[in-house]
Amino acid sequence: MDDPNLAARTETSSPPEKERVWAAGKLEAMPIRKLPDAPPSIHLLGPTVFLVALGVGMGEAYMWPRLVLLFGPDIRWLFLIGVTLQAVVMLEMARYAMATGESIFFGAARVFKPIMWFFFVVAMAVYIWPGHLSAGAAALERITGIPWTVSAVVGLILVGVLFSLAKVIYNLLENLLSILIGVLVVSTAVVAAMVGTWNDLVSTVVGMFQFGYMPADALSATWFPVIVGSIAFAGPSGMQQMWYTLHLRDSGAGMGAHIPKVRGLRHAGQEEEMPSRGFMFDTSDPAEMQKWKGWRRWVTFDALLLFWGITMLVTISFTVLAQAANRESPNVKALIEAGEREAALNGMSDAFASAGGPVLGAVFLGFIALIGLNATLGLFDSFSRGQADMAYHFVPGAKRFRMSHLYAGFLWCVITFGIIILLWGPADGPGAILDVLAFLSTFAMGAYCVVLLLVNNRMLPKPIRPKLITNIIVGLGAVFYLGMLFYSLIRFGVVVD
Amino acid sequence: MDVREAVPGAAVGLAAGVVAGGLAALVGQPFSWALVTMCALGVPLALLGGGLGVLMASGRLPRGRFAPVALFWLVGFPLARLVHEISVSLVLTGQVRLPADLAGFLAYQGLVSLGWAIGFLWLHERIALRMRTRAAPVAATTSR
Repeated sequence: MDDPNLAARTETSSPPEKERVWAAGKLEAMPIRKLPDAPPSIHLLGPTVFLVALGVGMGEAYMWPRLVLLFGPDIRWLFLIGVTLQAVVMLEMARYAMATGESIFFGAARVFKPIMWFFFVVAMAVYIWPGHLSAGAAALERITGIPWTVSAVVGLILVGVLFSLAKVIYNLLENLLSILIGVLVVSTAVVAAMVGTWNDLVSTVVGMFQFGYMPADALSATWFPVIVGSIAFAGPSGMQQMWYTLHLRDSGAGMGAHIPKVRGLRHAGQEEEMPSRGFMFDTSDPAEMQKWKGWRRWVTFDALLLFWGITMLVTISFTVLAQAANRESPNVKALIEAGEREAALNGMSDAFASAGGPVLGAVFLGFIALIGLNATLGLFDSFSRGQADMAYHFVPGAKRFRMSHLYAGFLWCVITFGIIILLWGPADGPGAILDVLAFLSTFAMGAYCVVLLLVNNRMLPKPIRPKLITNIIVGLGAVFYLGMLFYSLIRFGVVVD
Repeated sequence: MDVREAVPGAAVGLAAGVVAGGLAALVGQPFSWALVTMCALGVPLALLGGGLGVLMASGRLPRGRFAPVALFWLVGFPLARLVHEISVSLVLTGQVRLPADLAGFLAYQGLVSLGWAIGFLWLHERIALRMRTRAAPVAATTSR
């Protein structure tokens, strides 16, 4: 059986004699169904892999090591705050998705539909550009000599074909990303063990606790927007946390077990009918609440160990490598300070090579290519999943199609557009709107903190709403992201970099 | 004792050695250097990883928990790295050389072992789960 949740759905999704429902907002009420048992251990290593694949990217491998070389390791307290905040956001995203089987986009629509349309438009504006492919493909070009546009276009087509042929897209991608992330983590640890020193590690870790450290240069028009961008890129950036709710649902976590999985285009005919809303469990039943606690334990383990731990590991390792390189070749700092991203990445690779032999330079570029591949696989799937979910439920007439058809439609649209832009256009987006895109991406993070507060406190039954401390942290998140963004905009006239 | 339980952990350990040695070969290091790196790091990690799998299967370490795995590697990973350092110096220079600051070296490796433990557990669970899923239908057929 390719869908382990099928039994749960067929056994428990049929309505009981007298339908009980949970009314949330003005949209269709959620019928009460049984909450499946939580997994006993970490064996269901599932949806966090997507968040790690998307989250462990340029922020960890490039932006933060770069800031450490420029301002010293003490600047990393901002990274600690950023990633810890993201771990809490992840837990809160999971709260709604596991309790209802609905995405956070659906939750936003329950509060006020235009909020959901805002995210629909932001996703189209920000994520349709294939710029995220360029760093990984350029790194691959340095290692293999294959022109980066060729590998990027071939990669795009392969992703489309792979996702279209898959029986259940989630299963394929989870397996693939799990191996890639596992290799990345194990390799990062091995390389850091061979190259770094005790002093590098201690200064990197101690730097994370130097709360309030802010050198004068960091508050300049040149560097403050870079720091804001780096904070936004600490862990998952933009809308990536929102897409995590869709992966949780497809993994069958919590009430997501009652929702069918999205299939590849070739197997779209086998997809079960998608319910028009999610489900709620009986929060007045102590046995059900016990199971809920099990699910919360499971996702907390995922958030703290897998998401927080791996993000920290990768960025600490890269920072240790950057410090080792800087020790051996002091000119690396000037190279990185002056260069654009590709130039700086090549500079870091050269510095690593001079510090630890050509192996280390190639390892660094290999990691960048691997990170680029992970992000590309994750982004294309997530974008298509999110847009398909919103379109299916809220675009009039879209239910004539299956969710899998809509998914494939968005996927091939973004791939086709991506190829056209890679060959003939500006990969990151037109220069005139780059600032707008960067603004929207960071603004979305502050906005989803507000949405989380509204959705979890107004759309969920009282027994499973977040505690006060959690609300305070998420509220501070909104202030943190929006405050930094607007301060940078008003004080320096620059959004983020 | 089921030796098959040692396969996932040994595979992850060996893979780490292959990554280290393979990359060395890829960028033009002498083949002997790459081979020594691969074996000197991969074999100790594979032995320890396999042993960990057996301990979990026999119930001596709880399965699916992170803390016991992290503690195991807190000791095991620095040991494997020490074996690696000594073996490489022995093969390449003919002399046994310990790292200059042994205590600092071991402490550093101990800290890095936490990251290694996360990656190890991640891959181990993937491979072990797949092996169990594949073995289950075979076992069911045999018992019939």
